[in-house]
Amino acid sequence: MIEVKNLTKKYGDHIAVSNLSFEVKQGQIYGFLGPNGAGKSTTMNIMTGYLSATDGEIIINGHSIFDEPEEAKKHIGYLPELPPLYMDMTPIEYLKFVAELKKVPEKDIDKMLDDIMKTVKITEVANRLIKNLSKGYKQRVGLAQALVGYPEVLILDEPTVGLDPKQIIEIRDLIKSLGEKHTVILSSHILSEVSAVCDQVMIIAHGQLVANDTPENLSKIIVAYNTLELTVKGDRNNIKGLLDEIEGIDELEVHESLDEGCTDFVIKTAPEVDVREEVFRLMSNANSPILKLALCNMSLEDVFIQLTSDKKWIINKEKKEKKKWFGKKVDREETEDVSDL
Amino acid sequence: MLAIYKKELKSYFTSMMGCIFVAACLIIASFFFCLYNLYLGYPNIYIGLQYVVTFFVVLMPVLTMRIVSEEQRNKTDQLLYTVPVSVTSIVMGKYLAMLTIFGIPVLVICTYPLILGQYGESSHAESYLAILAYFLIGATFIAIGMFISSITESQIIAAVVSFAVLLATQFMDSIATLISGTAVASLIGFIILIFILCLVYFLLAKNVLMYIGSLIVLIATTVILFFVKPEMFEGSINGLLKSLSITSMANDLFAYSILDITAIVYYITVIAFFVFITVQSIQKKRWN
Repeated sequence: MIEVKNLTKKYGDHIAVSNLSFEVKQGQIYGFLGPNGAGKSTTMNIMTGYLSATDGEIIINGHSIFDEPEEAKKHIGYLPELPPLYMDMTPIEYLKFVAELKKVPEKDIDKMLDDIMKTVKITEVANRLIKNLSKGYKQRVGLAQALVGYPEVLILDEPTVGLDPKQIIEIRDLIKSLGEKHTVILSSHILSEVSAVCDQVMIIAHGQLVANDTPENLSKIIVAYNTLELTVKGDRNNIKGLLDEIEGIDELEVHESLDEGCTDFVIKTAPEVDVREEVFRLMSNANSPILKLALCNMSLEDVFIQLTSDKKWIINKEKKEKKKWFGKKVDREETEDVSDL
Repeated sequence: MLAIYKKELKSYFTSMMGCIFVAACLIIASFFFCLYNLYLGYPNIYIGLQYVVTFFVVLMPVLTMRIVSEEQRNKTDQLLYTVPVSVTSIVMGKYLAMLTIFGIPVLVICTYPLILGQYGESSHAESYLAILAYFLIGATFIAIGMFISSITESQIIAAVVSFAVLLATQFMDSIATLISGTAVASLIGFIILIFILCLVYFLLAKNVLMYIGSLIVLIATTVILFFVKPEMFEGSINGLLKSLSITSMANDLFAYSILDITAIVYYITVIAFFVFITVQSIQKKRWN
């Protein structure tokens, strides 16, 4: 469907997208995830032919966006970050204009626009000026614009940004239903959104692809280590000495506890190592009551933060060896099942 | 192209800008028509139209300032350049829409010779030739204004720069007569021009090496040419400046009522050139 090969975009000396390659298959919803300034919008702008690339190739349904732009653009509907709306038009006028631009046959226009307006629920505002519409409705008109002509691929740049929670859910459901007929690529910096809607997640940071997998698989990759949170009552140095003797602990952090006479520990081990029973026995022998013992898995959110903040780190599923790239204190108390997000 | 054309035409009338432009054109044209033809009794309408042309310096920027710059500011260009339509047809659609707006007062002016004919002897051929010249000058100014609108995101900057450029073209004729026609004067004039052109190129491309390189090559060529064939330079700078004076190129059409093919070809060439570089300036933005 869409092939992106070695895409590079430079703005002067600044590299916005660096050697990006991926493939998009028909009938799936893809999520482009990355922090602000990661190169998501730039990549999308290049894919839709709005910007040119410094290097690389993009093939859409067999047509290169650079060599045969008009042919390639026929297969794409694009909703940019800021919906490209003409404020002094009404939604119906605007959509008619877009339909004419996209060369929809005259006789089909009315029916198509009617259907699209029903799909995105803007029929009731169809005759109001766009400048008087709320942000949510403007976003919907933008989405309707992308749908005109029913292109096979929909590229949506942060479709839910600036909407209220109810609207976000509505737009998400809408995108999900669109995913049944179209291939959808959406970008977001909100993780829960991507994992809720998308079949495939591409995490992009500093213009590079750092991960490309299903949300479920990504959450499996992440369990590359275990974190134990422990609160023990008793003498700190004594307990620390005991814990130090346990084999398999990679890292031991000591923190002041909120409870009086207690100490908090954060223990990090390899994923296959479980030291909970040993910790219990040792503490029990030393007569130091354990007030809390919790196993924390890393959530997709943590992975996202890690992947996107560490430039050199590129995910490698085979690499199961212990990596000490987790500088961040894990403060999640409960184990989260990421696939349910 | 038709979609863009219809949309632009519509937006000129929903934003009132089109109405104001047409009204202003008609008020000025009819004022001079009343004054020179109806009141003072001149049989040809070119005298009045020549004065109207001087007002184009203000009127045309009003028409052209928002045409491309507004799309860039509102990011609606993201729609235009991602639909399966070529940039050339987008620019052509916009240009033709502006030409249509400008065509409305010209059509009204076309009735003036008929009115004049009611009161006595008047050559229709001469009058309509003058109207043709009037239309061509306007069309050329619109093309220049459109190009200037495409290089900026601000309507105000587009309007001010268009005004300055159009004003400069009005003065070119008088500047040309002020400069002496000797070969040395021409040489100096050309060297100054080369400096300015290279500087503009440098500001656009930001390439110091290319700037110095092209500067040296162009100046060297000019100086060598000057020593080999000095007679070529006599009066040439005046000719060049005159050809930059867009309004004075129509003098034959206007005042002497000669169907001057050179002038018509000149206008069509200038229009085609500015439409072309408008397309290029939009394309260039994609490569930044």
